[in-house]
Amino acid sequence: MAFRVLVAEDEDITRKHLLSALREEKYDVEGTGNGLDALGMIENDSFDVLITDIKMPRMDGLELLAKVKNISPETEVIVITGFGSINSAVDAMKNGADDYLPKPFDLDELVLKVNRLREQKALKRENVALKTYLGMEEDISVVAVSTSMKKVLDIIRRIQESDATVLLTGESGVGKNLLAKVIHFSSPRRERPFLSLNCATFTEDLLASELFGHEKGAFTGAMAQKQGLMEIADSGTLYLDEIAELSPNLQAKLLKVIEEKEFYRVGGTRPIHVDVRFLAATNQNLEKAIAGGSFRKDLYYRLNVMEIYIPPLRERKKDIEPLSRFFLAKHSPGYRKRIKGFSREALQILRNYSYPGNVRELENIVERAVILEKSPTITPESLPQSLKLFQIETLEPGRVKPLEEIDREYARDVVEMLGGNKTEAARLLGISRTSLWRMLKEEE
Amino acid sequence: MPQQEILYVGYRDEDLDDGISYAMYLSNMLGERLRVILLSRGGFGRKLSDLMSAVTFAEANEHETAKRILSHETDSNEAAAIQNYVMQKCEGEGIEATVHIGLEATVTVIMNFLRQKKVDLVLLSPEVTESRSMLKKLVKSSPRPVITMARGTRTFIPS
Repeated sequence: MAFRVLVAEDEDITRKHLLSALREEKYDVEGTGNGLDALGMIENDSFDVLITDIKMPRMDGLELLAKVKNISPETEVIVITGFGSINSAVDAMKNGADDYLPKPFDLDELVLKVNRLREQKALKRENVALKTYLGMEEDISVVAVSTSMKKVLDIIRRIQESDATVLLTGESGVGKNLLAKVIHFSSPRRERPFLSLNCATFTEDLLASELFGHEKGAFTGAMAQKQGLMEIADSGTLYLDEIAELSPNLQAKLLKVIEEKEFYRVGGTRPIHVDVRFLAATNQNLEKAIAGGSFRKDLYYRLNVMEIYIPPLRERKKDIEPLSRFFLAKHSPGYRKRIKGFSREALQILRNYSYPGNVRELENIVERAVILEKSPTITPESLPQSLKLFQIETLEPGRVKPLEEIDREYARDVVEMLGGNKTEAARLLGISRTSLWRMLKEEE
Repeated sequence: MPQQEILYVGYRDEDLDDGISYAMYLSNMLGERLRVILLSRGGFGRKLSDLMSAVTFAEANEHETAKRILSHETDSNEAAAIQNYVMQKCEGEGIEATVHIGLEATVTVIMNFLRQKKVDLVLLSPEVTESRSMLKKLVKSSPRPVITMARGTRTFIPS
């Protein structure tokens, strides 16, 4: 993203020198000879730094400073004060100037000050990103014993050097957010910001403002200029959850950012260039949404450079036990409990349940059990009543399971129910022990 | 603020507590709104049953009761009571819920909700689960996962 500087100086020669010195440093620079024009330029455009002289026609530097800090608080201001005029330097700093420079000044000194402001601004942006990140979970642990989850992690490992857009799909609660973090923190952008936004939690206007930022006065309530997540995530990763909820208008804007790496703030007239990696997630069938006309096909193809499907927990029953133990270890200390594990009956109930809420639900069940349990092991008594009273099944429309898979699941349940006695399980199932062994081995 | 919903579908005359309790549990667990649809079994059977009851009351000279049955006044009072009961139950648990009562028990009615609302999961009550024809049609046409509830847990009894 280019760093933009506006120079407001009425002396033509000084202004030209300033502009040329800053251009040499590769800054995107513009200049004007009076305060009023400078104010108009900041109102209509966005600048990272304003360098202003104090004495100027039509509007002096101090008045300009006060107005700029009101309409665009993110613009840093350097005030050029007259020779020996300590009072005006003090006034400038009191009015919110970020730095000052007394006349006559050395151009190198000015460039140094602008460089310093650029570094500070970058740090500020990283700070915002860091604060946003710290608001989320701090540890990233993925428990994966099942073949299907190992495959997911293998795909993530294989794409870790890539900068491709990734679409994470799967039901609510399967762990899409967690895997998005894993993708970011194993990528070359790991030291850069990771920001996430749930597209379903905002109205269209608010979402546009959150994503792209806005200029002062862009809409009622836009009292000051605001940076959007696209800008803050520059050089990092932006994770958009529930992407199917984006309105057609925002889908078009997002497509433009992905394709052209630039966007406009709401109410802005100048394109802002960014380098952001996008990760998106949905629990909806986007192909159906495209067919129904609610999702753009071109955006789908841009997002779906790599699609990772995270299977629901009921289809990776092998993960239930290790995940339960993981959540037990995670939550026990918080409630000052010393629970060692799960009783056989409790584990049986946990394994047989179909988890419509997936891993998120399992975590809640275990946390609740930790709170309620009085013995050193989790027993069925501390598990939710519904799990014991009802047989809950989750049927996924449009997804037909092969008969082999159903046979395998049933065989595995029978073996588990018999405490691992495969000979007895084979007898009950009416197959040979070798066939049962082969059936279960295929699952490995 | 748009938020996803769990759509619970049951019959208004079935034991509400079992199904609704699980729907509330899921709603809490997933942090989603709850939309409850309690269907009327309707159809010719119900109309005939209402008519027969009205005739019985009329023959016993209880004309007012017979009139009330035919005018469905009792029906709407009962619906309001059920609605209050469910709403209070949800409010007690801090769950944001909407309750619809008395809709005809057809897959089209449920599909309309699925098309119009942001439904994450469809949860069928034990009695709707037992209605195999409705279950089949729903699973075939629902764009979202369908959760069924059957009484009794899965058990294996070794011979």
